[in-house]
Amino acid sequence: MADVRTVPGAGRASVRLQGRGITRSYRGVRALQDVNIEIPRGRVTGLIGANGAGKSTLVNILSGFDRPDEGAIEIDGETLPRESAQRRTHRGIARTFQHGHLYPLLTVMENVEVTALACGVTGAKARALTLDVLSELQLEEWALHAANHLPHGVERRLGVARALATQPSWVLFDEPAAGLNEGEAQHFRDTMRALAARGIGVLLIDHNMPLVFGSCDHIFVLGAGRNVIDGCPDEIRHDERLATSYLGNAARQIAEGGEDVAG
Amino acid sequence: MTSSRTSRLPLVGWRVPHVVLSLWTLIVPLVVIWVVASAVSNLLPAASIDLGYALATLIIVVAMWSFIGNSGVLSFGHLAFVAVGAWTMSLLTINPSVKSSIMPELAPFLAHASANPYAALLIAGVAGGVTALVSGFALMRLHGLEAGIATFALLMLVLQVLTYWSAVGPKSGQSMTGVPRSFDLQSTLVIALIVVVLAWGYGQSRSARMLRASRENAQAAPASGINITWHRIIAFAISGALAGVGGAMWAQTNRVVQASQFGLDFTFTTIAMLVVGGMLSVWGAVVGSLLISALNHVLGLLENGMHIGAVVISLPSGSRLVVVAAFMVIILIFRPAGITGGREVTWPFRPPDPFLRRGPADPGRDEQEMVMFQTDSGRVG
Repeated sequence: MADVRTVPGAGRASVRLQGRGITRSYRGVRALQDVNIEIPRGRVTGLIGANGAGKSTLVNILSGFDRPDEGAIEIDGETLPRESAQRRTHRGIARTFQHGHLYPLLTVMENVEVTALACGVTGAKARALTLDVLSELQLEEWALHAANHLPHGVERRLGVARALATQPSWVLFDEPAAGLNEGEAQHFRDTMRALAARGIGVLLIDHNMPLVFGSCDHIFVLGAGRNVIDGCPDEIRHDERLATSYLGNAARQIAEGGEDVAG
Repeated sequence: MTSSRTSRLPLVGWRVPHVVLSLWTLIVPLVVIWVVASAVSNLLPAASIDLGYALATLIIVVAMWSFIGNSGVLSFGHLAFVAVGAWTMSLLTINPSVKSSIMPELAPFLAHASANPYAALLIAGVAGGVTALVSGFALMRLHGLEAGIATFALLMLVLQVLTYWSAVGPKSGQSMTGVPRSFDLQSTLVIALIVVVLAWGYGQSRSARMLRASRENAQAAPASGINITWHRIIAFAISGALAGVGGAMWAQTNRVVQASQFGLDFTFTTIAMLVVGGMLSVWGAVVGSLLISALNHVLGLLENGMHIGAVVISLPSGSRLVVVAAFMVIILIFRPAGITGGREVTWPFRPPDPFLRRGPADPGRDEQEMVMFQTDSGRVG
């Protein structure tokens, strides 16, 4: 099991995925303006901000689903070429989607296995990797179910399983905890920490502030398409700029509930 | 987890290898085709002409499935490859003296080319495949309806070329006659079965599995590392090659070949077969084409007037397509995924549990997983 779980280069702390000076507009509307982000391997990095702050746009750009107007994506200081999303996946940058995006008529197992196959693992190795990933996310009992009528929590886990089947160096989670109950969110937090522990760089976008503040090593805050602040959870927790960038609900949630869970 | 483990063992000791499970989805369609063909040729000798057409059409529909079923992109243009296959077969097998009289302006290399039927069949397949491959590089970048319309444009293009370019065929609008009947019914059946095996084999391939994933969700596929365009091109080329074989078989059954035969009527009939059967499975393609061919045969008899006792039942000619269309509408309303539901033939017993195949049974496995998981997170937290 260890062989498929270990990521090459996991021991090197220096490997990081970076976005530098990312700018992106849609029909004249600036979605991102000179944004910087850094996602080191072996760490959980948070990305928060109000709706429309540009979080998903940034994930799309990092994962190759969108292209920046200006700026560069770098791995260890080397700029990545403009390339298709599937090339980014092969490069080790996996992602999940806000809305599942599963393969509904395929079974849970096929969802994972086809991903392993597409990432260059063949035959019995692909099957072994698939079963490992399914066990890891406790999806064994769902293996032969079609992916079209799964409970919400299982769908979310399958999204994670599929990302892991690409044997990624980085996984970008786009609102993975939306709709999860507290127990599931807690379990998801453990999953992310486990991924980081074996050298994967995790990016977490979510509105569940206790989850973000409780699981991240470093958090970036975006506001209206710009970097607002970044730092470790304790540094930014009480920073005024965090509250002002959110204007309300989420900030209160952090002040009231963030501390109990984070400890 | 405990309750799930018991439910994971529905049939203790009844373990079927995966190979059996997937072969089952091939063997059943093969047996059904063989039984239907044998039954018709033995019991209804009068229907054996239509049986030849039915088998040629089956090849074409199965070829269309290879692309449409796996990619989810509806192609209205596959008759282009059928036409190319029919053309190739005709040019290679028509007697050279006949050829020079009906096609005087034929390009010299075509005028002299000839091949034995089996070689001609293979070349027809290659011609269909190459046409599909070349056009695929342009067409397969498109998605959804645009792709469908573009394939239709391709059909129009190919038909115009075949109709008016006298260097590759007869003078405009005329037909190629004297195509010899190269294969008897028995060989036709064997060729049809081989095509089903090839299409099924492609369906089992890594490329086809990735294509089916992209059919299910084109947006997620790149995140799985799937290059949709590339796998579509492969499917289109394979599908075009099989359609070329189908066209060749159709040409030697019909013995007269003209570009206008591969137009809208034929396109509609083949798509109706695929839709009625269920376009997501090779089983659906087989069921749909056999069923509509049978329906067509009966309606043909009725159009000519059928004597049942003293009563003569007859339908106005041309009612075939009307009835087939009505049949398709009814299927679309009551069973939108087709008669087979778009599924392959399912193994009648419960499928084996993938986790059973991993080493010796270990009752404490789930618990071990859990512990590993906790230590993983414990290390950092």
